[in-house]
Amino acid sequence: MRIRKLRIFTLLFIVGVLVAAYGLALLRTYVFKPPPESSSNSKAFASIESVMTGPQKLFRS
Amino acid sequence: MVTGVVLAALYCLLTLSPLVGVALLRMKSDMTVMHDVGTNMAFAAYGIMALQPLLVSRWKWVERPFGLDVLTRFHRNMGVFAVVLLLTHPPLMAFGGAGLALITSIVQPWYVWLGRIVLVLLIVHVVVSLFWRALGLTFEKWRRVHNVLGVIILGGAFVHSWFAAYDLWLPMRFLWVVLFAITAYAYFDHRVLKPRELERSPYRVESVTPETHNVWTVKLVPPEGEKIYDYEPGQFHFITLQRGRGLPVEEHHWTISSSPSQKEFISSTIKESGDFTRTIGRTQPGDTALVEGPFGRFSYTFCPEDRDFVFIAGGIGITPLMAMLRRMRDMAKPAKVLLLYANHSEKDIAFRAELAEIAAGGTPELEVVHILSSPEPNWKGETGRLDDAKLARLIGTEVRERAFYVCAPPKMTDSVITGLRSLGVSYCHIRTERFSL
Repeated sequence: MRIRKLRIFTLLFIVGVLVAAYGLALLRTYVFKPPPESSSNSKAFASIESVMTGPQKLFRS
Repeated sequence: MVTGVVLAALYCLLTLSPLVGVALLRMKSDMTVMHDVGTNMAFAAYGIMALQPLLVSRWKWVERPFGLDVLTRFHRNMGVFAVVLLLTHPPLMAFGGAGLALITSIVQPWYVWLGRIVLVLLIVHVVVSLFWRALGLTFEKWRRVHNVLGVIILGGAFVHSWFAAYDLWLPMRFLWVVLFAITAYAYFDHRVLKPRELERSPYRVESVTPETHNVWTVKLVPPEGEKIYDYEPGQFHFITLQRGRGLPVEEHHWTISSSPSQKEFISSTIKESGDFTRTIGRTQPGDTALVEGPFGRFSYTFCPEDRDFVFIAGGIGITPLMAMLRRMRDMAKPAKVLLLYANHSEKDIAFRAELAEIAAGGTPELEVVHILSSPEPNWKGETGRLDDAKLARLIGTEVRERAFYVCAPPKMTDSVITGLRSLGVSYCHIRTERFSL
């Protein structure tokens, strides 16, 4: 019975994580879409270097 | 039950906190969905990995509601899941806009290289953990590798995400440190503090007696002036035998075969089945042992409503059931027990005389059915495997009110559970214990 409960919990947890990962990405991109002027950045990144902002740049410098 | 639900909810909250926290604190994104899913996969994996040591830390308040066997399985499943999540992390980011160079280019920042190394190590870690027997490793060697690699992976993942994740604003960095501190403390406690505490009060081996040609009972007594810890019949503990004489010092988990009514000693009955256990017979009275326990949920005492039992044992799987029968006898528990005890041959039957004694005693009302797969020609009892037809014949059709306790090798356990289910036994009434964690 404990093993069965574990299997059910594991399955629910995995599905929950995947849904959360995808759902939050959708939310960020479509629901909380940044204003058009700031979205120009999306065209700019061709490499990892170009997506670095904020604290990351600080660490790099 | 309630504690278990609360702890499970807390686990979900903590593991998902990096993922949800990043999203909530920085809801606006100018990345593609695919790129964001890629980073989310890594945040989720970090939360899962950070709590991995906690699951197997043997902290009583974490272990008690679930049982260490269940937590260990979950730990293993989550390890595999974290690898799957992290395998999707670089390609989703690369195809989501960061560019294929993220995967293929040698010229990358050091923290990207660190991430790559951590991912490779994690894959190796999980593969070795799943197939250590097939790879010819002993349990002890595998565990040493597991502990060292685990620390490197967690440390590497922490540093990689700290420097690579631009979403990590100050509150999130605080969360990162908290998660890392939890895992570091769980590890430190498990590997350093607890062993030191156990070394301060080692148990002493009182006797080592043979039960069959390859099964031994090791009786341990606590240090003078100390009591044996409280335990339930059917639980197990970890023992590190310190015998000297060039004999290996390894920690192993064994079922407690004595009854909790016995306050002077605690015993484990051990079968010779590997390099280490083959030396059990060479243990001598006076040797010391570090004992950590109890663990596990395989005991009728956790289900006080059970009165009518069917115990099914395969080989050395008899030990937790024997502890329960001894306890029932000592407490004069008014219970009815049918024990189906499968072995290869007569010489493999452990506790045969004592089982007959308990059956003759009348409390509990015990019926023992021995089943031998390779019997001697003069054997008059049950023979062959404990298949569905035999289960149905021996148990009968009245199964609704009975509680089934199964402890056997994995294949037999699975087959018995299938058989019980086909007889109409509810999952709620089947309690199992697997030999290996």
